[in-house]
Amino acid sequence: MSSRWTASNRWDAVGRTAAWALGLVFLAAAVPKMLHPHEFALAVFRYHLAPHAAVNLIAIALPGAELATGLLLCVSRSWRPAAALVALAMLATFTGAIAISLARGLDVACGCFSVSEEVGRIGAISLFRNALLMALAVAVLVTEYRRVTRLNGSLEAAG
Amino acid sequence: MAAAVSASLRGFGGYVRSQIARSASLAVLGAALGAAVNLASPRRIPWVEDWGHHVEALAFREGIRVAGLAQTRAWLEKGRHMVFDARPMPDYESGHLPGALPWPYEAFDEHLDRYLAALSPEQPILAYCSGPDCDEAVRLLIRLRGLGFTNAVLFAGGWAEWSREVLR
Repeated sequence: MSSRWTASNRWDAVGRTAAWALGLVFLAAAVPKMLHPHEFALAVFRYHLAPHAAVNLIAIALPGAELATGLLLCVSRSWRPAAALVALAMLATFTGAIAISLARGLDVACGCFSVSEEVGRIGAISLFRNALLMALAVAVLVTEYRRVTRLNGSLEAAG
Repeated sequence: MAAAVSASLRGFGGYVRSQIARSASLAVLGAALGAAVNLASPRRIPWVEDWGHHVEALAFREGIRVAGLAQTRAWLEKGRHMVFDARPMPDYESGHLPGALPWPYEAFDEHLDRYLAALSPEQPILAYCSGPDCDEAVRLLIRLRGLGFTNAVLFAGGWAEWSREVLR
């Protein structure tokens, strides 16, 4: 019993750490975009993927979604899996956009953590970084799933 | 073992599916938060903007490469690019990028005779005009590409960005 409990604590610690790390990354990503919305809209435009009419809507909505996701990953246990799923979906979308732009030969700024056009050009590093962040999101989902199934198992045993 | 793994994966998949509704509401909540921040912000942007008229939209459609300010400065320092200013002559004479030659788009043919001997398909060319609302430089590059001079880049920020960021 005690060794299983220790292992459970370890899984919880992994999940908590992954959630905090991912949450802080999303908070750091949201702030410059909210402070400089026109520059972020320009960064979105420069990918030439979104319809022109949607560029500003994306530039307005995306940082809000990042902020909400980051906050809930950090502070809310009950919302953590949903936030991790949203983070995973956003990261998959960003990674796809970067991959398409690299395949097109575009040399553009990522717009990920800075709205400056000179900082953070897209490249293989961007893809690798996003893969790591997606792994964190999956880690949060897996650890939360284990916690829920462990709790359900305990309730069934008690019942 | 395989059956256990398969069962676990199915269970995990079911768990993820159970979070979809909450995730969707989180995404909507986040978008609403972004909208609220934009409304309250002194730097608010319009919900819809006419990006189709931005010069980079035309450059992208035409397959013309675009350079930012830092890349342009680096190239100017190396000095290998022929730099053309596509603005009218009075604008060129009042100020231009270092080493830039005047090539007002309105007088394309006249200046083509002047520069043709120095141009080659391998010669890197950089063109600019007043700023992101000006399409004369990209149109200059499109015409040059039609003549076989394809090693060309647009500095989309133009004189507006150069004078704002470099000459301040």
